[in-house]
Amino acid sequence: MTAQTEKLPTLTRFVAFYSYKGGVGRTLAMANCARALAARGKKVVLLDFDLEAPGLLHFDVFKPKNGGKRSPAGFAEYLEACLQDGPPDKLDDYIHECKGQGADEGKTWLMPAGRHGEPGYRAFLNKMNWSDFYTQQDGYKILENLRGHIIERYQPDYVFIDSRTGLSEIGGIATHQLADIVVLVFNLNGQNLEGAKLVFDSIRKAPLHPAVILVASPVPVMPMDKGTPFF
Amino acid sequence: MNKLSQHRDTYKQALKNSDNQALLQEKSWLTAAAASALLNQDIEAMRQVRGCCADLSALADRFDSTGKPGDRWRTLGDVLTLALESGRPLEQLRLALPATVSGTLLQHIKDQPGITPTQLSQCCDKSASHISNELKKLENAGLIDRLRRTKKHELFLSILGKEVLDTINSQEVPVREEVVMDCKYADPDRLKRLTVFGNPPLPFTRAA
Repeated sequence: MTAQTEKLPTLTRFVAFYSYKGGVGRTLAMANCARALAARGKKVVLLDFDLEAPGLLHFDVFKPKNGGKRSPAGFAEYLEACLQDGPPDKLDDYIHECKGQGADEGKTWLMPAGRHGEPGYRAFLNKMNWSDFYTQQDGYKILENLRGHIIERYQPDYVFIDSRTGLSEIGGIATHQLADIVVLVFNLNGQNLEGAKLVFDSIRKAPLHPAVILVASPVPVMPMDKGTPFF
Repeated sequence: MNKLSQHRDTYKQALKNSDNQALLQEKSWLTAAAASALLNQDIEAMRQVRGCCADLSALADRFDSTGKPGDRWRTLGDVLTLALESGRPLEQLRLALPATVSGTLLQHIKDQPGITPTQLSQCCDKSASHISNELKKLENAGLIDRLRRTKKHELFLSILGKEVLDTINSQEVPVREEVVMDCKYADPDRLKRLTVFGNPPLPFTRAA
C-alpha cells in the first residue's frame, strides 16, 4: 500500500456551542451549521447537553429516522447505564440516526438529552451529583470514553455539543474537557459580555486548551452612514 | 387481595400516571404500615410489608420524582430484614447500629473495657454532654454497665449489650459489587494531559 492509497483516519473535531445567557441563538446556530455540513456530505454527531432545557429533538430533521412511539434514549440514560454496569458496548441505544432531508449527501446522528418527558428523567436531574460523578466516580474517564466511542463507531467529521448556559457543571465539562473548539455565542450587552469574559478566561486555563471562537449575535443591520453603535 | 397489596398497587399506578398526590398518600400509608409493624415487633406484619414493598425501590428510582426515589424502600427493607433476622427489639438494634453515635460508643466500650466517658468524648470528638446523653440511653436499655470508682466511672458492656453487638456484627450487609469502568475507547494521551496535576476538578468550581 502506497502513501497515496492509504486511508487516512478521520479527523473528528468536537465543537461545543456555548452561551453564558440564553436566547442568543446558540442552538439554532448549531443546528444550522450541522444541517449545512450534512447537506454537503459531512458526517455530524450532535450531543444535546442542555439537560434542563433540551431542544434539538424539536427540529423535525433531527428526529429518529426509524423512530418508534417512545421518545429516544440519550445522555441521561447513557450515564445511568455507565454508573450501573460500566460504559455500554452499544452506542446505538443512545444515539440515533436523524431523518435529515432527501438531498443530504452526509448524515447526522443525535444523542438527545434523554427521555425528558418521563418522570425518570426528572429523577435523574434531581439526584445527579455532578461533583461526585466527576471526581469520585471516574466521570471524566466515562466522558472521554464516550468521546472515543463516538469517533470509533460513527467516524464523524464533526461532533457538535449544545452546551448548557451559565456556570453549569455539564456546560463546564463540555467546554473545558470534551471540546476541541468552543464557539462562544453572546449578545452585545453588559450581562452577556461579562459572563462571556468570565467563561473565556476559565476555558483558557483548561488543561486540554480548546480553541475559542467568539460569535456576537445578533449583529443588527444598520444603514452604512450610521455605522455601528458598538464603537 | 389484602389492604397492603391494594395500597401497593395504587402506589404503583400513581407512579406510572405521575399522580403526585396519590403517590404521596400511598407512600405515607405504606411507610406507616412498616413503622407500625416494627414498633409492635409484629413478625408476621413485618414479613408482609417486606414482601409487599420488595420491588418498589427500582420502580420508584425510575418514576418517582417527589424526592429521594427508591431510598425509602431500600432503607425500610434493610431495617425490616435486620429486625426479622435478629429477632431483637428495634430500640436495642437502633442503639447498636454502627452508623449511630451510640453504636460507636458500644464498639469503643467493647474494644476497651473500663473506658471512661471523658476518654470516649475524646475518641469520638463529641462534647461531654452528648456522650453523657448517649450513655444514659445505652444504660437505660441495659446494654452497658457503669462501675463507679470515686469520681471516675468505668464502662463495660452488659451481657445483653455484648449479645446485641454480636448480632449486629454477624449480620451480613450486602455489598454492591464495584462497577468496573472499562474505558477502552478513551484516548490515553488526552487522559494523560487531563490528569497531569492529578484527577481533574469539575470545571467552574473553586478548585478548578
